[in-house]
Amino acid sequence: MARIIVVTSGKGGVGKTTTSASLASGLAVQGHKCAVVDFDVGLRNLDLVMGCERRVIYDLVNVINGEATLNQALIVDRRTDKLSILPASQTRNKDALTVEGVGRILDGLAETFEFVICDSPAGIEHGALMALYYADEAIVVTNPEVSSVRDSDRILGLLHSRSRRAEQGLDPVREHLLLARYDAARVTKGDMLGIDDVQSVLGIPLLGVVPEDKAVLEASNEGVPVIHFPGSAAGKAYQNAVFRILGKEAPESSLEKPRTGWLKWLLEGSG
Amino acid sequence: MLAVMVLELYDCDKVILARDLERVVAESPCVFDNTLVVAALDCLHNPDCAPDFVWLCSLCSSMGMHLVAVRGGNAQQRHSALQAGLSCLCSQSPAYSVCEPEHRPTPRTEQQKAFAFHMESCRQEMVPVSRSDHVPPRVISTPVRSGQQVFHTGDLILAQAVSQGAEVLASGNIYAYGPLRGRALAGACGNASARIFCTCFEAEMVSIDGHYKMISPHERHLWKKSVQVQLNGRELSVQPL
Ligand SMILES: Nc1ncnc2c1ncn2[C@@H]1O[C@H](COP(=O)(O)OP(=O)(O)OP(=O)(O)O)[C@@H](O)[C@H]1O
Ligand SMILES: [Mg+2]
Repeated sequence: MARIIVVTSGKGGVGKTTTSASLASGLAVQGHKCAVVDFDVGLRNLDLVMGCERRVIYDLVNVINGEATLNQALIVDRRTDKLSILPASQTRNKDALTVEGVGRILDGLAETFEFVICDSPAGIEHGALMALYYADEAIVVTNPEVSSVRDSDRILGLLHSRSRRAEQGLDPVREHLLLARYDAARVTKGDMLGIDDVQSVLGIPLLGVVPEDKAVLEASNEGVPVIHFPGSAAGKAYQNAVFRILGKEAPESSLEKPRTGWLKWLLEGSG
Repeated sequence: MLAVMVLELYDCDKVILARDLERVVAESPCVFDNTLVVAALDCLHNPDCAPDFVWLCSLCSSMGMHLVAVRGGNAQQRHSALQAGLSCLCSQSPAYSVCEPEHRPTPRTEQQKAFAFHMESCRQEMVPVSRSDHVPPRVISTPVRSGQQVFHTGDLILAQAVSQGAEVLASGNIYAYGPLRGRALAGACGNASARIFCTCFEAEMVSIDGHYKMISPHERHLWKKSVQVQLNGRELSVQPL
């Protein structure tokens, strides 16, 4: 059974596409056949982050409309042939996505791939709903700030009420929290929420904490997912998240130890 | 006393209702946002028609309104309202039961409205028809997230967190076992003795029987404590448990 995983957030610009690209690449490198689908119809970013923008011929909407087959539209990754990318269309809008059409695509992908990663657009409207509708699991990407946490909470509500699993009364969508752009120094200063603050609001298991890291921008400018830079802090964090998705033990990075603030930290005299 | 919006239905044709309701709400969205709505069935052109209450509930909620009850109607209509989770209220008192002239049922012409809206304060008349009907409490065992609303005719038990930006409404009491961070409205159809109990009080707003209180920094000494909220006269009191 393929695992259909939506990467979603509500709020824009929190790191969904960065996360989708890295996790999909990491799963493929671990030997799992993986497809990553760009649901951000109208914007199309994933192909840039994956460095395959020049190889895009057909897209998701072409396949939904029957103008191309799935195999014609899928682009095999240059770095690992276990990974394929289904790009979004730049010329259409999100209304081109239909429940029925998306269902056909995901059924098709589930026949050959072990993992299908759906990179959701921002927002809570049609495009985001289409991306999450068929999900078995959700990775909710959240930045440690109040507005992002609130939007993630909203998305979790939608996963509970508007997904196929909710509508059909099946087991609920499995939820994971991925805290991105985490800046420990700013948390200590009190400018940003801490891990435990976010978790106390969202109350879902933590898949990983990706630090704020310049390597992310450099990698995406090069069109290489940051997970391929194992020396970078963000690359390491994504690698650990991949292990956890596969149910393996992953070392807990120092970031992920819940911290209640510098005062308590000092009092306890431990690091 | 709680103000409710009475949606006096003349027609139960879905297409017409949806179209007209959308138009009215679009004209003054703020008026309808977060209002409790009672659908009055006394003035239906065809008194025996069968409105689809499940559909009407979701139509109302898509526009930010909470349909909570029907008023009047025949046995069949009341039965289907109950099945849709609505309360059934008595017809209006005899003095009002005759539709006002402008509302009197007449054959529908194209221009004619499918409904009319008016505000009422509902206390006196919002008497459930059969008080003996025991309504079991509703237990919500998943978190209530920002943007979600839960309503129950009867007591509402919340086993997990109610997020900021979420809203829980009950005609009876509300018991919150997880953090209560959103808005909680007990006795929402008129019940001054309803209470709210919670184990971790971080609410944005609490209300009983239409008396509401925004939680201000003055209440911060109760923050994250176990509290109960009740109505003393016209005053809402939030007390540690
Ligand atoms: N861990 C990180 N450290 C530093 N910068 C990051 C990190 N994660 C993402 N970014 C940067 O944030 C920006 C937005 O990232 P990304 O496109 O992945 O977000 P998104 O959630 O997909 O956005 P959208 O909602 O527009 O689809 C990019 O410029 C990216 O380089
Ligand atoms: Mg994106």
